[in-house]
Amino acid sequence: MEVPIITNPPAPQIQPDIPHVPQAPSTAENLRQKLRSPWAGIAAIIAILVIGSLIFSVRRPTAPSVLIPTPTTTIYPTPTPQRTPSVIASQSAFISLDASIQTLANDIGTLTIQDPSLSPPVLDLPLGYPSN
Amino acid sequence: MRIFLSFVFIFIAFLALPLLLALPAHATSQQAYQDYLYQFDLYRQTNTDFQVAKNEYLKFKSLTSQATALIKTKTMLAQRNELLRAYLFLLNEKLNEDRGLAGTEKQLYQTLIANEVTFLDAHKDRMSSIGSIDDTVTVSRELESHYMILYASMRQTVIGIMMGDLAVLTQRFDTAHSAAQSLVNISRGTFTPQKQATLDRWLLQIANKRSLYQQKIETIRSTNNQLKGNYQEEIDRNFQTMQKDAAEAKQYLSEGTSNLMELMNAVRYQD
Repeated sequence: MEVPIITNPPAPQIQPDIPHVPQAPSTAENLRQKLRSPWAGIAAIIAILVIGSLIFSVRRPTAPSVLIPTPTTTIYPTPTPQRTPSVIASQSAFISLDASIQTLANDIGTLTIQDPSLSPPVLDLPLGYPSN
Repeated sequence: MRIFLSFVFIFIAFLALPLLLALPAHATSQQAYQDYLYQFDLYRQTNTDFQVAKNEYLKFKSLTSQATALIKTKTMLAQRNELLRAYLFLLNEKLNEDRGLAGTEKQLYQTLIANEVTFLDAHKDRMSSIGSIDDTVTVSRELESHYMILYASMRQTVIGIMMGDLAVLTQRFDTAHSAAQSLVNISRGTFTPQKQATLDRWLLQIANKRSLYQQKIETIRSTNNQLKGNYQEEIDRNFQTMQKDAAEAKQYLSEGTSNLMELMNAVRYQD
């Protein structure tokens, strides 16, 4: 009798249950993604502004400035008007009255209305003993 | 020789002694002020001792603390009396030295002071009869009930002294004003009409300032004559109002004097 040859069927290939791992993008793809973000636009604008300011800050050589001479003014003091003194100004009565008014003005200025030496004493009047 | 010289010396001293005794001993306001400060220091000291003794007595109620409290209270009451007398004496000396007040006005304030000194003398006499702490309370209440009248009299006198100081300067102002007016009137023909008109305007301005000053003085005088109150704060409030009015009166006098100086400056020159 022929023994049947049992051949085991080939074991199914067991695929390992590998979770889905996203593949790391390539460098070029990475760069393209970064360029698409809004911050890239802002950085580009700032870079253009900086480069442009550097270019235009280089001044063109200009002709030397011409000095305008400032006019110097001559100072003439204003003459004091000469006033004719009156006849009374030389009289002794006028001179003494003038002096007394000056003294009066000084004395009024130095008068103190509130004399601190005349403040009345501060007293504790009620004795504070309890009344019976 | 020695005996003769000693005899001559004794003879000269004998002649000079009556002259020395005849010189009146005037106590100036400065001396009165020093005495007042001294009495105030003593009062603070005795008041502190009294407060300590009183608190001890109220705390312990022992016979010893009671006796000590009685002594300290009597001492304080006597010193309080002396302090008020010293202050009134200071005010009196200030009035004596014043040269601005009219005789009747000065007499009025001195009468006020004399009345209060009489009260304090009677108050001091009653202290000799104090035998217990209740007696000290009774005697003290006499001063407490009279104090508003005493305080108003003191404040009235201070205002009076202040008005006297202003009156001295006002007298000088009036003399200068009158002399300036005479000067302008005498020289009326020597100036141009425009210049004369300027001088007349200055004189009018000075008279206006003098009139405003007088109005303030009358207001102060009227308020001072009626100064009284049930509370010290009320009297102080009126007192401060009068001081403010006095400051304004002084300002008017100052402005009037400035106008006088301007007038003199205008008279000094022909044009």
